[in-house]
Amino acid sequence: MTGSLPPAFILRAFEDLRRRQLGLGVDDLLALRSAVRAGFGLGSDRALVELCVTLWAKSPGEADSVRAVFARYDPPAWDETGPLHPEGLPSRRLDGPTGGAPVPVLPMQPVRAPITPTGRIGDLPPLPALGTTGRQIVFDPQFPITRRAIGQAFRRLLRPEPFGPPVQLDIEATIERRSRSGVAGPVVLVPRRRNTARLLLLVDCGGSMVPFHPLADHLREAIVENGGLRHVTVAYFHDTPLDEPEPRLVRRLSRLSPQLDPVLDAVRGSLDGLLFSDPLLAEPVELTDLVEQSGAGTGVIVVSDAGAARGGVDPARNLSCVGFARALREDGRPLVWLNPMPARCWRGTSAGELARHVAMLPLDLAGLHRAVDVLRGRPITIERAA
Amino acid sequence: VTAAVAHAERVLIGLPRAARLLAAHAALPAAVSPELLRHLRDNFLLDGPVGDRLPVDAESEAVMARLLLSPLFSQVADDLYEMDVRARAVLLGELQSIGDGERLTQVAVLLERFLQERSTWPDELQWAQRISARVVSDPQRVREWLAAGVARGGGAGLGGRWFVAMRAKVEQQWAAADTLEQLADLGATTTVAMVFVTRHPPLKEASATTFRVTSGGLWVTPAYVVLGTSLPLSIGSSEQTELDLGVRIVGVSETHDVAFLQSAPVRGPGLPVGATSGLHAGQRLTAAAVVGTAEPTTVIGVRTGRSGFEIDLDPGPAGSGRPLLDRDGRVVGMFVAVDGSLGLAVSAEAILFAMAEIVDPEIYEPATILPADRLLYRTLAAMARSAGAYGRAERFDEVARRAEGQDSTNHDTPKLPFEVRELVRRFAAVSDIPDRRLRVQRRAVLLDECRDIVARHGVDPTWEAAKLALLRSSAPEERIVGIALLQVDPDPASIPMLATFVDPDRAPAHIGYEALVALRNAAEMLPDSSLDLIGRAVEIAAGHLVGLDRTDRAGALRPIRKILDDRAAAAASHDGTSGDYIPTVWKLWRDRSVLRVRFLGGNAAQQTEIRALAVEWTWGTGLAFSFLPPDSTEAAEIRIAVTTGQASWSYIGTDALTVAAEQPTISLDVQLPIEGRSRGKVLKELGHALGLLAEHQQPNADLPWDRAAALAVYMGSPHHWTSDQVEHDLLGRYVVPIPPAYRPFDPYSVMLLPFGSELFSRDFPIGTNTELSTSDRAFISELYPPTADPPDAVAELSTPLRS
Repeated sequence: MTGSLPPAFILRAFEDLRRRQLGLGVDDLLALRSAVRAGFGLGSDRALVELCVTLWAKSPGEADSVRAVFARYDPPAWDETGPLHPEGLPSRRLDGPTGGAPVPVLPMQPVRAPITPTGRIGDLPPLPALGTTGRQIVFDPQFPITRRAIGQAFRRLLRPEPFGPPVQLDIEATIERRSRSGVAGPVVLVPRRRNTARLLLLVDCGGSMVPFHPLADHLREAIVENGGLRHVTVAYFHDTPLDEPEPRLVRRLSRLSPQLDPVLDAVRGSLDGLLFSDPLLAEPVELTDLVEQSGAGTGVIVVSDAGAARGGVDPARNLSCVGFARALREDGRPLVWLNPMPARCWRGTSAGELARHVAMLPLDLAGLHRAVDVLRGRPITIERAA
Repeated sequence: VTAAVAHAERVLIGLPRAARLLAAHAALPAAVSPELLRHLRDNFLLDGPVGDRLPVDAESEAVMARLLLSPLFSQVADDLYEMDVRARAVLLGELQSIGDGERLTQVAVLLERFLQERSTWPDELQWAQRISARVVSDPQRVREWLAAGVARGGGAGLGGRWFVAMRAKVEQQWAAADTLEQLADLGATTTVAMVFVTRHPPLKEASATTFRVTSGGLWVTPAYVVLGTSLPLSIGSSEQTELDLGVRIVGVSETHDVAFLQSAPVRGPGLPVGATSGLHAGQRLTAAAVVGTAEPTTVIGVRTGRSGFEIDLDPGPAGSGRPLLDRDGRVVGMFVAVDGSLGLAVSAEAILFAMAEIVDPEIYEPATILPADRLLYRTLAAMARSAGAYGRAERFDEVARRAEGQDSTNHDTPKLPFEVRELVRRFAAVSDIPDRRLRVQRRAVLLDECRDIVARHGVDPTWEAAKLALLRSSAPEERIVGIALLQVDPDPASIPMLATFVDPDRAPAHIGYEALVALRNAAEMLPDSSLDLIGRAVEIAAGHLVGLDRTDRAGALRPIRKILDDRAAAAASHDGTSGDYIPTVWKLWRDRSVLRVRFLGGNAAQQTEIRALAVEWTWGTGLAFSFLPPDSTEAAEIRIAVTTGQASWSYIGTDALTVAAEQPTISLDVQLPIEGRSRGKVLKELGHALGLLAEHQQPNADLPWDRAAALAVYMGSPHHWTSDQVEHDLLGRYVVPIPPAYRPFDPYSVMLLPFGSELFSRDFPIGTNTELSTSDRAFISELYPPTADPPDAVAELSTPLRS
C-alpha cells in the first residue's frame, strides 16, 4: 500500500455502485489497482471503464450499471493507443444507436429493433424527436435483498439424504473398518447426500399486492434457482388461501374490535381453498392437493401484505388465515408469513392482528433468515398462536 | 377553468418528499407499472441528496407500493396505474423544474428505451406512452400528429378511435396545466383569503376569513367554520371570481377554537406570528381582511390571558377568522366570535399550540421554509415537547434545523429557547430607540418579561446552559439579555462573570452599566451566604474599571459597597426576637407621576368614599391618582376590585405592573360608611399601592413576638396559614438595603395592623389606627417629594428600581 487514493471519479463511482448492491469492497479496489499496475486499462478512458466492468460486474445488468455510473462522472478522457475500437463503444442513447459490433467484456443486453418513433409512419407527419441526454439508462432492477442473499438464506434450509450410487468416500467408516480387520481392505463408499428440503411458497396476488409483484417474482426466482432446495412448489392466491370462513364465527366477531380472541378457540383448521398455479390466477389447484403433494413436514411460506399496504382491517379474512395456519400446525408443517411492508406499518391493520396469531416477519434480509430458522424448527414467539 | 380543478391536488398532500419526487418522475408516462416505477427509482432516485433519495431497502419498497396504492393513482389494468390528471399537471411542473427541463428529457428517453427493450404492452399503450413522452416538450407537433391521425381515420397500425381518445386525453392534460398556472398566480399574492362553502353547487358562500402563517398551503380559520360540515370547502379571494383552491381539513382543535385547512402549495411566505405577551390594554391592532372586500380595521385589544383576548369590534359578515396584526404586522390573534359588544380573539399562542397538536410536520411540509417559519417550528417543537409529543417535537426540530441551514444569520445560538431569542431581538430593538425615557420604559417592560421567563423555567439544566451561552456569546445584544436575566434572577455562579463585563474596554458602555445594575441587584437579593462572593466580585469589577477616572470608579461601585456594608451590619445587629430578614427592594412609582386608577366593580357611593381616602395619601406629595371614568378604555396602573366580606389586599407599589391588564391590583372589602377599622384597612392597602410595607414588617420594626403564640394563632382557625407563611408574612422583617432609609417604627401608623396582646411576649399595646399618622404623612412626602409643578398629566410607567 502506498497510501495514495484512487482518483475521485473512481471513488464516487465506487460508492454509487455499492449503493446499487454490487457487493464491492476494498479488495475490489485493490484488484483494480493491481490490474492498472500490470498495465491494463491504461490505454484510454474507455479501456479503464471496461476494466472495471471486467473486475466488478457479475451480470450483464451490473455491467450496464458500471458503465452508466462512470458515464455520469465524466472521467477524464485520454487515448494513448489510437482507436481501440474504431467504431467506438456502443452508445446506449436513444438518439441513434451508433451501430458497430464491438466485443465488450460482458455482452450488452440485446436491443430490440426500434420502432422508428421519429420516422414518418404511413401518411402521418413525423413525431417530434426527444431531446438528447448524456445520462445512460440502466434496466437492472434493484431489490432490497439480492438473489445471492436470498439463495444464501435458503441454503441453510438443509435436509440432506443419501441419493444415487455409492461414490463418496466415507473416511471415518473406512478407518474404522480397517482398524477393526487389520487389513487394508476396500474403502467404504456411500451415496452422495443431497438436500431434500422442500418448500411450499404461496404468493398473494392482485389488489394491494400488485406493487409488490416484481419483488415477489424476484423472491420466487431467487429461491427456486439459488436456494438449492429439492423442490419448490409455488402457488398464487388473492387475499387469503382459504375460502370463506365459517359464517357462524364471523357473526360472533365484535363489530367494534378487529381482535379474533373471542372466537380463536372455536376456529377449526381447514385447507379448503382454491389456489392458482400462475400469477394471473387462471389455473386453479386445490390447496389440499398442494399440501399433500409437497410432502410431509414441508415448510410453508406465505408472501402477503395481509392488508398492511392499504391499511384496512378485515377480521373475516384474518379468521380464514388463522384456520389455514391451524390446519398446517395440526399437520406438523411450519408456517411463516413474509410481509413486504415494514413491521411498523402493520399496527392498526389486519396484518397487526394476524401477526398475533401466526409467525409474521418483514420481508427483509433479517426477516428472511429468521423465516428460515422457523422453517428449520426454531421456535418463534407468537402472542397467541393459531 | 373549473372551480373543482384544484381539489385533486389534495391527493399530493401527505407524500413524503422522496415519494413526491418519484411521483414527479412517474407523471410523464401515460401510465406506470410497478416495474417501470422501479426503473425510474433505480435511474433517478438512488443518488440524490439524502432527503431526495429512495435507497434500495425495504422502506423504499413500502414507499413505492404506497405511492401506487394512494389516491394519486388509479389501477387501470392488472399491472398498470394511471395518475390523476390534475395532480399530474402539478407534478409535471415539478419535474420540468429539475435541471431546467433536463430531467424531463431523461425520463422521456428512459420511457422510450423501456418501450423498445422491456415492454410487453400492446401497441396502443406503447404509442400512448410515446405521445406522453413528447407532449410536454413539443405540444404543437403532437397536436398536429394527432389531428392528422384523426383526419385519416387511423395510421401507424392504430385505429381512428385511438387518435380521438388520445387527443381528448392530451387536451385534458393541457387544461389542467393552464389552471395550475392561474392557481399559482392566485397563491402568489394571497396570505388572507375567504373560506367558501358550496351548499348548492355551483353557488358558493363566503363563511369566514382564513390566513396563512407559513409558506406552503396551510391555512388557519376558526373551528366552527369546519365543524360538522361535510360540504365541499374552498378558499379564494372573492365570491365573484371563478378561481379558488380546494381545501382539505387537516384538523380541528375545539379547545383552542382553531381549524387548519390544507390547499395546494401556494407561493409566497405566510404572515409572521407574534406573541400576545407584548399586548396591553388599549393597544391598537389591525384586523386584516381580504384585499377588496373590507378595509383593514383598527381595534382595541384587551388582554385576558394566554388563550385569548377581547377586542372592541364586530368585524361584520365573514369577519371571523380575520387575523389581528400588531404594529410590526405580526399576527397576535384571530378574531373568532362576538360576545355582546365585545369581539373575542384567539391568541397567536393558542394558534401555535393547536398547530403543534394537529399538524404533523411529516405530513405537512412546506415547500420552502423561510426564516419566520423557522421560529415558528422552533416554537412548535417546544410546545409539542411540553405537551409530551416527543416524536413530533423532534420532527418540528428537524424542520426548523433544515430552515436554519438556509438562514445562516442565527447559527451562533442554536440552543437558545425561542422566547429568549425573541428577547434578544427586542432588547436590540430597544437600544435603537432614540428617546431615553421611552427606552427606559421599554426596558422595564422587558425586564418584567425576563422575570416571567425565569419563573417559567425554574431550574431546568438546559435553561442554565442557555443562560451561560448568552453570557458567553460574542454578540453584545445576546450578552445584554443574559445580564438582564441575571438582573431579575441573580445567580451566585455567574457573579464573577458579571464583574468582568464591567470592563468598558472590552464591552460596550451600556453592557458595563447593565452589569453594574445586575451586580447591585445581586447584592440586594442574594442570601447572606453570597455576600462574600459579591464582595470579591466588586473588587474584581474595581480592577476592570481602570478606564474610568477615580471618582467615576468610586461612584459606580459605591452604592453596591454600601448595600453590602448595610447588610453585613444588619445581619450582625439582628437580635432574634423578630423573624429572619427578607431582602426586598423599593417599589416606588416614579416621581411626579399620575397613577391611573380604574374601578373594577363597586357602586358610585363606595367609589366616592375610596377616592376621598386615596387623596389623603397623595395630598402634599408629587404623586396623584387619576380616576378614569367608567367608560374609558385607557390603561390603568391601579385597578381596584370592591368586594364585601372578603379579605383586603394590595400589590406593593410597582409590583402592580406585573399583573395582567384586566386583573385587580387592589381588592378592598368595603361596607358603607367607611369608618373605624374598615377605614384603616382601606388606607393601609392604598399605602401598599404606593410602595409602603406593612409596619410590623418594616426594617426597623422590632416587635416582641411570642413566636409560639403567633404560630398557634395563625396556623389555627380561621387563618390556617402554614408555618412558612407565619414566618414570612408576620414574623419576618424586610430589609431595604438601598436608600432612602425606611423611617423608624411608628406604632401609630395606619400601616400597622391592630395585633392582639396575646401575640406578644410582653406588654405591647397597639391601638386601631384609622388615620394617617404624622410619620405617615412625612414619610410619603419624603418618598414622593412635592414639586413646584403640579403632577404631570402624562403617566409614565415607573422603573422598578429607584436609585
